[in-house]
Amino acid sequence: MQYPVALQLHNLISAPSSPEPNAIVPESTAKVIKITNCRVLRDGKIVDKDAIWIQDGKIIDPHKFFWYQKRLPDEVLDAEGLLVSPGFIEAQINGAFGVDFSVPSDQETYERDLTKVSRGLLKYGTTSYCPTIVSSSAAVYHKVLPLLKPRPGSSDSGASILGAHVEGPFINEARVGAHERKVLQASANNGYHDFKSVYGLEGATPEEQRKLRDMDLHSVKIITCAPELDGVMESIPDLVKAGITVSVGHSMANTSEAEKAVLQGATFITHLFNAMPQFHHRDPGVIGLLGSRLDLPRPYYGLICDGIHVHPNSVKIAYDSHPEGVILVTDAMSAMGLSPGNYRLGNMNVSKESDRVVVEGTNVLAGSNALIGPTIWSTSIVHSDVYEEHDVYDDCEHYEGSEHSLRIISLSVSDTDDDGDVYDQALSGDTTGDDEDFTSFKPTSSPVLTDVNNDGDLCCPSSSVITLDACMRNFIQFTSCSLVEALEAVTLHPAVLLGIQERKGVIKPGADADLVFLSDDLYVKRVFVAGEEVDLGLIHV
Amino acid sequence: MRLVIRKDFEAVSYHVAKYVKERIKEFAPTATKPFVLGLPTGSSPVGVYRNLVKFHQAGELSFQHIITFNMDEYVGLPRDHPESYHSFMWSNLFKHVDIVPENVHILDGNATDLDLECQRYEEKIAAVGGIELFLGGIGPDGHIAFNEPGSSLNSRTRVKTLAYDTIVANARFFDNDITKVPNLALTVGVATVMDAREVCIIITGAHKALALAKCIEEGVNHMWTVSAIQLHPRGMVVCDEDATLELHVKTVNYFKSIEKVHEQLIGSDNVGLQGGVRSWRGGAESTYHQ
Repeated sequence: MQYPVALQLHNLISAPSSPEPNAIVPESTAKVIKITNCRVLRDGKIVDKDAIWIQDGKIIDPHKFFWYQKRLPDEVLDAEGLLVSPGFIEAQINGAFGVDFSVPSDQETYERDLTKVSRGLLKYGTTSYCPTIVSSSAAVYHKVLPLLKPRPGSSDSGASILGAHVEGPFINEARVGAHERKVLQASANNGYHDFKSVYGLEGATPEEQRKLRDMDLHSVKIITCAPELDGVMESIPDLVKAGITVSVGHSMANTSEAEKAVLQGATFITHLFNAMPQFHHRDPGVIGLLGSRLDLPRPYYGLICDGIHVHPNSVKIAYDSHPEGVILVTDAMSAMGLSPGNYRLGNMNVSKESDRVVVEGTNVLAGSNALIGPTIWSTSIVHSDVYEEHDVYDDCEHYEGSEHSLRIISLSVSDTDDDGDVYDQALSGDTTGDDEDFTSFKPTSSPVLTDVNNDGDLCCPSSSVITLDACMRNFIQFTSCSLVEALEAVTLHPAVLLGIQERKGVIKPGADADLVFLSDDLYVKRVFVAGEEVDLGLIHV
Repeated sequence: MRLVIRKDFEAVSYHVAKYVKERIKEFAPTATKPFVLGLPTGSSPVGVYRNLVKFHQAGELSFQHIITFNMDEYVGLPRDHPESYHSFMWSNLFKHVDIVPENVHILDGNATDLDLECQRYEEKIAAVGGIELFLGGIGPDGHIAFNEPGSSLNSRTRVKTLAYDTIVANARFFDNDITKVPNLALTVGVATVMDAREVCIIITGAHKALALAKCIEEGVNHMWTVSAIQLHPRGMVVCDEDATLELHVKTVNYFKSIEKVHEQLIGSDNVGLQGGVRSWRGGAESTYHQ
């Protein structure tokens, strides 16, 4: 038989000396834990009757362990058939358990609060997160951001911190949502330098910042900004070069501006649908990024999946159009995780119900702004200088308050400037008096009451109180997606967005052993952080 | 030699696995007296391993005092390569059972001195007192381990060049690219296998039928190296109906009848593990059913 030439050549060049001499594998005598009898999310599939091997806080390859370390595991745990997923990654959370990340305090208190949140989040399966800071003044950033540098998690200190998500202040005033207007930055014409001076970024240049990021010495992980502001679009490449994830949000960009931002390097959309123009078929705006031509990169997009911020059908529409891009976020506020009851948050008396926080005694949703001082931030329509109190929007959440109490001013709607709609007319000012003074209220300025998220009403739901595992359960219900897809929306996708998919959000050798054990109905049963099991019963927040 | 014929691959796998389990149970291995098992790779033993894992998971079989020696390994393939025999044994057997890693022996195809590695392997086998039971499969050319046609029937563990047929057959594991298949392997010799106190060969499928016929019905021949089993005092071949397709009807009937006699005249409970009769139950009063 005529041997093929290739084989003859192969025979000649293939010699017994090995391409891989007996590899010297570092001998580790550290304890090895084997978790058996589990269903594991691995490589996009759920593997039945699988086992996970952990050593030194990381997942190891049992194959290598068996052949090179030549010993049996030190401890074998039975997962009793539970589903094991990588720990969840939260990309947007403003606070929880009564803690608000955007409110500076002394370092000791802040650290203690941070640990409180990090531990509490474990109960909901979140093992890594980006503390989110709403638009603030430079002074606040300079105080708070240095305390948010990445730190690893542990069973004692709780979830790992990946760096801060700074949502603003380079955002569009017209889509300010629940942020404070006066701290917004209108432009960034000095590019990276403007961002550096506002946030207090550690690196003098993008390259330096990236080096610091590679050593986990950076503080800012994600920046949400509006690319249509002067100078912001041009700054995006530098921010990306600095190792920062750039997200489009609180923006009025049209679709071509948004696509340009993505081409410049933006990889995320902050809470899709919220704080952006609503979808219009001839100008889909930022939402239109989900329909970009396939030769353009489509970014990841965050969805607050509490059923309140985004209608379940809208969640499904977004998911159906771009299933690979979905990332679930909570955008939770300080009341998240508190048990139902009455609390005082900032200057507000509120009632925490199971899925929302309302002003005490009412049905009005409270927002995170309540904690940013007693200044009135919302406005109301005036009909001939007098507030008329009769209900128009049952779910309107605009209110004003003083230091003493809250009262809801209902709105009377009328087209008082004769321009054909009931928007763009308002008064506000501040009031430090009580009810009687309202009748003699004098406007001191004329900002506008606008339909800030352009969804047809004057309500702008601000932060939520949902937890990430509940988001995931809702998500499956809303979209009928597979279990794998729902889990990847809170694990793999945020990990890839943040560039950490070698160590977080996946179960594979070399990754951090952050694991969540879920029951069949997807409730968190057991949690491991850095290879150690967390005693969930000891966490009291 | 015993030839046990079963219906199909599943039945063969179950029979062999059960046999191994019973043998080990009868042996009752301890730390000082471990059971030394020789193991093959390839498609034939996959079902056997699956059944052994099931027995282990049901608590009927422990691998704690079992020492294993595999038959072969490719040269030059990294241990972690998905097609290495280390990987095969890990994913098919060792991953699921409680075997102690130090008791597992597989030839190291990446050793710097291959001849020394082969020599050491033989020494290791001798050091544990030889192999109690050696399982194996065959290739369509009747080879056992990588002892290709023409291998000395007195051979010991050594480096072998793989035959073209074998490379082509194995290409399916290497993206159907024959240039990716290793062409050298370390293998135990024919004599190494036959030195075991018992040998059990698994032969299933119509494509092995010719090899089975050559090995059983014709002479001991180095072109069909597994035929050396004819000289083994305790050899056993377990095959399925398809593998008997080239055998004479007479041969098949003969071996089937032996089993039938065992079952009906003596009772399968009386048949010792190696086929011997423990006690003779009765003579005339036992009825013989066709």
